[in-house]
Amino acid sequence: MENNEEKEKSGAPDYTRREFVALAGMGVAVAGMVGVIGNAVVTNFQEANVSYAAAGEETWIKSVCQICPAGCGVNVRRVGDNVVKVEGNPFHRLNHGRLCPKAQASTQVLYDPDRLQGPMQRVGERGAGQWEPITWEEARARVVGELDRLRTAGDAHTLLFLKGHAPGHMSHLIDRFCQAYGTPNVADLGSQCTSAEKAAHLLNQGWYDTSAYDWEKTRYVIFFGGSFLEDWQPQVQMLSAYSFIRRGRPDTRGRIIQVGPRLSISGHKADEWIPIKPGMEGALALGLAHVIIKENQHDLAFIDDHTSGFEEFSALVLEEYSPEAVAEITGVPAETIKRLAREFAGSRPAIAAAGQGLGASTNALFNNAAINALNAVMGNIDVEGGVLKQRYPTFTEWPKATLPEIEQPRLDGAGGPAHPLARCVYHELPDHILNDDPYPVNALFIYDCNPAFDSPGASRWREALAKIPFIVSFASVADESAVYADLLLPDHTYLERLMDVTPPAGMGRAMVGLASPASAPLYDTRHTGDFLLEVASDLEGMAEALPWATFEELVKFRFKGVYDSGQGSIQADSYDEFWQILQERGVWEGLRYQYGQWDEVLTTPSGSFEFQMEQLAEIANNVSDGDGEAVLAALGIGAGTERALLPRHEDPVVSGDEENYPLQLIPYIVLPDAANRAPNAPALWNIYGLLMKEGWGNWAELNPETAHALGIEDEELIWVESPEGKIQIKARLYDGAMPGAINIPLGGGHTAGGRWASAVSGANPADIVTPLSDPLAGSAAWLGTRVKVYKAEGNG
Amino acid sequence: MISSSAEQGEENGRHRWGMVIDLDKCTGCQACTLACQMENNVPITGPEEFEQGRTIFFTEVFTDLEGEFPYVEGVVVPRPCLHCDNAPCVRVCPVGATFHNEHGAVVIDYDACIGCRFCTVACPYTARSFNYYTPEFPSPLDRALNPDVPVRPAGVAEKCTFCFHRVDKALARAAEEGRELTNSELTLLPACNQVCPASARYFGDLNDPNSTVSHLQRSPRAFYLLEDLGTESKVAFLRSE
Repeated sequence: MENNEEKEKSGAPDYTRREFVALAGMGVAVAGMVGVIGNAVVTNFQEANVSYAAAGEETWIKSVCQICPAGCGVNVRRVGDNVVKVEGNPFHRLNHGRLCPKAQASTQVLYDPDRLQGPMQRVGERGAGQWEPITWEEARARVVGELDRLRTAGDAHTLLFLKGHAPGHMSHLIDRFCQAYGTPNVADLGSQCTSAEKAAHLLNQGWYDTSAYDWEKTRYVIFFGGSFLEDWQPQVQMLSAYSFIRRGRPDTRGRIIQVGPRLSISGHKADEWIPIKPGMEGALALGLAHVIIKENQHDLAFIDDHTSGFEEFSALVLEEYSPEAVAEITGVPAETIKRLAREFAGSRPAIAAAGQGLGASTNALFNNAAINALNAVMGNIDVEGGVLKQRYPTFTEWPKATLPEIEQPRLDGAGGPAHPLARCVYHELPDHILNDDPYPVNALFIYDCNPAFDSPGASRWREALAKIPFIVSFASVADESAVYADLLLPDHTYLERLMDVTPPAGMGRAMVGLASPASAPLYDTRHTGDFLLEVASDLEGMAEALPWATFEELVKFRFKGVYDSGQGSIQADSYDEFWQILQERGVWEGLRYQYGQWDEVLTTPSGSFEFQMEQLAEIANNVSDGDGEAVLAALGIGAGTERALLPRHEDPVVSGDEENYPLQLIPYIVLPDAANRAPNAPALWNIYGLLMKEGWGNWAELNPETAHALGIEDEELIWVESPEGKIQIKARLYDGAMPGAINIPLGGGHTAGGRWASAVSGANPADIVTPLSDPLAGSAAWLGTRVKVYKAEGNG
Repeated sequence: MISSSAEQGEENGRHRWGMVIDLDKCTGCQACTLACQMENNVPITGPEEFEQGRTIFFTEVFTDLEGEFPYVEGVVVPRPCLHCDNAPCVRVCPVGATFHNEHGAVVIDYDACIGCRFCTVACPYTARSFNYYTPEFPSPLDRALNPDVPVRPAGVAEKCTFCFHRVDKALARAAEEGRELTNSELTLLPACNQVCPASARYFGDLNDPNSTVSHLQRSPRAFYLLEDLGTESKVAFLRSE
């Protein structure tokens, strides 16, 4: 809690600007050599009324960026006690010293003037935003009291813990906390983005994860859906890969194709953009497979050695997905489909990559399975330049503990008959909460997410939040969800805390970053990991599962396993030395990727890539006491038919009929949108809308033809109305928008979160997206809503 | 021309800094834009200033789109100050406040600048900004100020400096170690270059015919923005294919 600001400012010599300019040219260099900067150039511009707070010795600390889930290594520049900049950590292979713009906003997150400065409790009406400060002891006692009361009443399962994209062991800790306490209801944001891709891998290859890719050796990439330069995870790796694929090798210039319904920045930068009706990307992949198989270009050796069900798959594809049929479904011309197929087959090694948009329809699982199948047809799986399986570090096993048996099903139906392949269904939770279905939620903990803003049908979440009797928020700023909380227990920002961050799948080789605190906590905030461990120690019976006093102890316990494995980039004689090197480098990485370890890459029961997804039947049986066919039939999955278990095209279910809601709504992600991690960073709002030259708010893109038919001019205010609700927003005419579609970037329309977040204009498209799901994977159908659009005047 | 300036450079120890941006690698991510702002203490402004075009960007990314759906072709171009040898901004400055420093970078003496804004109008690349407001860094954001770079007061023009404070510091450190900076070290010196995830930006000495930037500026893909204006910019772009 040290506050040295005053001390630092005093004693700063005043220089005139002219003296400063001279010093900046020469003095800094001299000062830099002796390792001390600041004292010579600290100045105070009377005119500018700005003083240089930073003064003192320059030091660098290794941290890991946590503005997005990717976990790039950062090298934090400190001058005295002040963090003045973050640079990339060259040791960290994920970003090799480079960063994206979001990371550059890190100091604006740490030094955000609107941060919550200590624990508070609600005094006014729920949602009114009236608080009074309390102590951490009081906060702890209240949380413990509430949890104890619930558990004693047999209602432990009515605690819902939203953990967002919680990094590294925060995520593990929250899971274990909930297990030990006795609730099945932990939900992350997986169902908002990648869960369909993960579920498809489970069926085809046997493991639940997104893919890693061998970008450095590939020659040809088709991105199906999304925008690989804007919404990818891990993003910086992708940005580097783009450049490497094109210019990183003297003899090869790879070709990159972006398929998607909107001309994104990726569409601008790809060699070719293929516009497609939203949600139809899987059909296109099947069309390519048709051409490849028909022309005998498929990889027979791979198919024979490592796959099962190819005959059934090829029969289906040859029968149903001719270029002409696929052109009808997708809007992509048949000639283009043939050409893409020949390019894809003729440019090995090649990659068919699943973009974000691919998981954003009700047919997401089959879309992703179609992409997987296309890769398998060409033998692009686990070969140089192909699709890889991510490996992870081996942490120490959790200590043995007696965990309570949890009898109740999850609230959101994940892993049950409603969504057999889902791990969580975040966007469907509000309906369950509002209807006490199948039981009420008595307590809600919100960590690292903002459900009142970031979920489809966000307005449903706001209603649900108003209903829950006890809400704890760990957010650093009072965002749209935190304003509903009973307790605000602000976490440190990432530069103030120790955290390990395992990057999401991407590199292939195992990797984990360790962030050391780069700044003392500015305020009376508390590491949520420490807080949860304290709460656990106060609750009877939980200490066995969570015996650590601090989060750092927990992380150190678990990392011992990495040291014990004896593998990877840090070789040390003792664990203390290992830990010290880890802190100095900020990252541990495992061995170079080994191709063709089939017993790890293909872990289905048959040990093969399963075109015919047998596990789907098995899982459906498991969740229903053997009546899997009924489960699948109830979900509309064509049980009993020959194609039931094959990758195929299903028409996406869309909310809103075509007659009343003629336009397809396409919410999308722009790179500078840091969601709940940095809503109040002004720098990011300045660069928010690159293609439209917009900032500080969002807009709705319409193809000029569509706009003219509706009588809508550029920059005019319009209503966008769906069955879910309506929003008012500025129209922008854009030739990169498909006729019949309306594209709105996510992130605009904040109503809370700090002075700059609140100043952002526009509207939140999540408010009007109906929270539909892929029935099997439980992933949110962001592209599953139709809207009508009309001028704002006179229609309010 | 190159060789003669190279010889001259060797004689007086001067460099002629230049940059190359490969548009075939650039991803339009705008990391350069923000890394620059954070490095150079660009004042914090909000939506009103943005709306009026008064937000300050030393380096900025521009896009353009031609054609109609579905036959559209987009371009993305990052634009720092181009540090022209024949710089219109230098020519119009009535008080000599903007000038070429010893290594050829166009810089501003903020103390001499009278705020007439001739330069901001003269620059054909809109690379110069005017400080309309007293710079604000609401506490505690002022703690992130970089002590190596002055905050410019209201009423002066400002722009990309090729991060000369970083370049000079590195040169001095290398001199201390009795060695020259390598091409790969030089290329990372400006903050925009160091951050670039696509490694699309190069920086170095155009006086040295063997430097990476000299090589790349001779590439058949190289071109200069609005070259026909005769500004003789020191920032080249490599055409995308």
